[in-house]
Amino acid sequence: MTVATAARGEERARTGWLLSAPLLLFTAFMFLYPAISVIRTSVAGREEVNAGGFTLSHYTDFFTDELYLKALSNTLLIAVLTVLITGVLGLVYAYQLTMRPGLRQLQLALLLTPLLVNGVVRIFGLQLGLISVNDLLMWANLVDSPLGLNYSFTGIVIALVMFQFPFMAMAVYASLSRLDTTLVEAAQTLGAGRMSVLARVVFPLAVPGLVAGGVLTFAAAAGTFIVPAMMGGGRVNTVPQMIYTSVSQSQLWATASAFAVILVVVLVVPIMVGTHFGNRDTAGVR
Amino acid sequence: MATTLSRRGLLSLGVGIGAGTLLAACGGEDSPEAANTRIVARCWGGVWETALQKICPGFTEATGVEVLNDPGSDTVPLLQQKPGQYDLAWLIGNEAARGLTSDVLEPIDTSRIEKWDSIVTRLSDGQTKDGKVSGVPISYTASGILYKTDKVPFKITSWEDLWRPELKGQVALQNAPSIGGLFLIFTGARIFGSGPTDYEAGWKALERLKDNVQFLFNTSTDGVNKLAAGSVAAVVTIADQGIPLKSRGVETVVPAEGSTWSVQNVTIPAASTRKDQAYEFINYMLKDETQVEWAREGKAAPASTTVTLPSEVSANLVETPQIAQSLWPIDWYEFGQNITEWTTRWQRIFGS
Repeated sequence: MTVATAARGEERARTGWLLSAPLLLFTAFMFLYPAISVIRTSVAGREEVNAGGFTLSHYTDFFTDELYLKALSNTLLIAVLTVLITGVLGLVYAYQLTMRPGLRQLQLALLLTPLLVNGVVRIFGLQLGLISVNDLLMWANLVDSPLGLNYSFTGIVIALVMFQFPFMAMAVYASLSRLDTTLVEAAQTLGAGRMSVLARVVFPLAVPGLVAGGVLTFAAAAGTFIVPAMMGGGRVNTVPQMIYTSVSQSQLWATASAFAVILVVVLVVPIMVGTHFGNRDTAGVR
Repeated sequence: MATTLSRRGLLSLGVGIGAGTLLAACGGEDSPEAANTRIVARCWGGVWETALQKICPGFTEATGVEVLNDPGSDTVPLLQQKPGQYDLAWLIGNEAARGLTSDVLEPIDTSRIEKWDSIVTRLSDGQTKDGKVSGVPISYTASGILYKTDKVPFKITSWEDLWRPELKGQVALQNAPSIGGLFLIFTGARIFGSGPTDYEAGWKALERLKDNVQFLFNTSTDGVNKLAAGSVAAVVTIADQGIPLKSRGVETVVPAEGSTWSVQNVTIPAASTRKDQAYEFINYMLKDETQVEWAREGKAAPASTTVTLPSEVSANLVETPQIAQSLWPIDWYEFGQNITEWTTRWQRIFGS
């Protein structure tokens, strides 16, 4: 290596640092600082931001109180159900879009258009729609009393599926759009049934998209405040609601910070497992 | 060896310097002139902000002091986090009380409030503890029961009616920690207990009320919208919200035995550097003509008893002088101290 080459390498490295400096500063300011502040506050001796002292009592309080444990289990269950339902629906949607690409632009536009509407408006619309569903079921004498679609656990999951479905469908479609359709034809020629094709040919190819969409959906569903607040009707406690309550009226910053850290840690585990699983080669190529 | 920067390096440096300059500019101080002619107020959004937008120009014209309104919620935490950012803060009763006890707010010097003695006594008493006043009441709203006459098979006249079995799954309440729902502890204590502070009786009453509750709402408009749509038969909320719904079959009741209420206070943050101007603003808000305008735009009853509302304004408010007399006393300091524990207990009862 000549001196000139080494100098060029040094300059490139320096330029690289300069180029990445704004992004590093942005990340440090927007993510690292708040994260460190939250972690530090979560172990503070008093209920103030960055208060001194050290205690783990905010964490032990969480894990010894049935109210908070129930909120955590509700949060996780809601997130898991949302991932499963959007995953199944997203896979079917993306598959049919891949196999029958006619009017693809229109189908994609229809999929994404609801994202342009304000979330609160969509929830109000959904609530009215679910009231109509109940009215219809009762009118048809299929049920005696309204089903618990609004203001319930079910309502939260329905709303989250509605919110997250486009993201899951797009992620799966991104994986399946490169699907070589001759693989499906080959499998059918070899006698595979429709379900067998889906399970053994399409599904493995969709796994990266399912995992990417699943991670996004899981994190969004577990971290949402507004959907459980509006669709749960105050009857279903979740961790984000507990965090909001702790800060908004009671200014329990340390408690809220500990809850936030717990939520992040609990979410990171399944997300890492999912990502690890998604990175495996599931398409059968060795 | 001389160091030369490539074009990309120079570009990065430029972006960095630009960002730094921008950040420095964000933290810039006002000029001395601006410091005395502008106050920053934390206010609520929606109808309140709109009302302030109509009222503040008159204040500026009268005093030369401009009011910059910054709408939003969670004001007390913000005042804690950003001392010195605001000169005024609009707060409800318990928030003002908590703000004062946590030293975030300045105790109000009532001798500087020209019409302090004209404020409805129930309101000013609620903000006073051990001689210290947390905020100046500007307006208030009484709580009431709004119900659809075609869905409730009897005439609601009392708070006790909420517990009737005919209303099973038909009632909507405001969710804790908002005060609208927690008020029912007071109601339960008075109706089913031995007196206004028999809170245990209030909690037991809430447990019995659970079966009648269809859902808990986080914004008062949510409950009213569902009532108007007919998906719920009765809502406990700000009584004035029922008046526009009369034509849609909604009856509004403020029971004769009395009622809880919410108050809109102006408070002065302890870290404010323009307290003189803040007092000027409060005095302006209590002037009769401002109170009328505030009642018109904010749909809330004036706190001052010297105000005579025009008929078109009073038609939109249920708070008659009789109702003002029947308001239950509320110790906002006690409410503020208990709100954390009460919210948790509330969540244990209604949540799953």
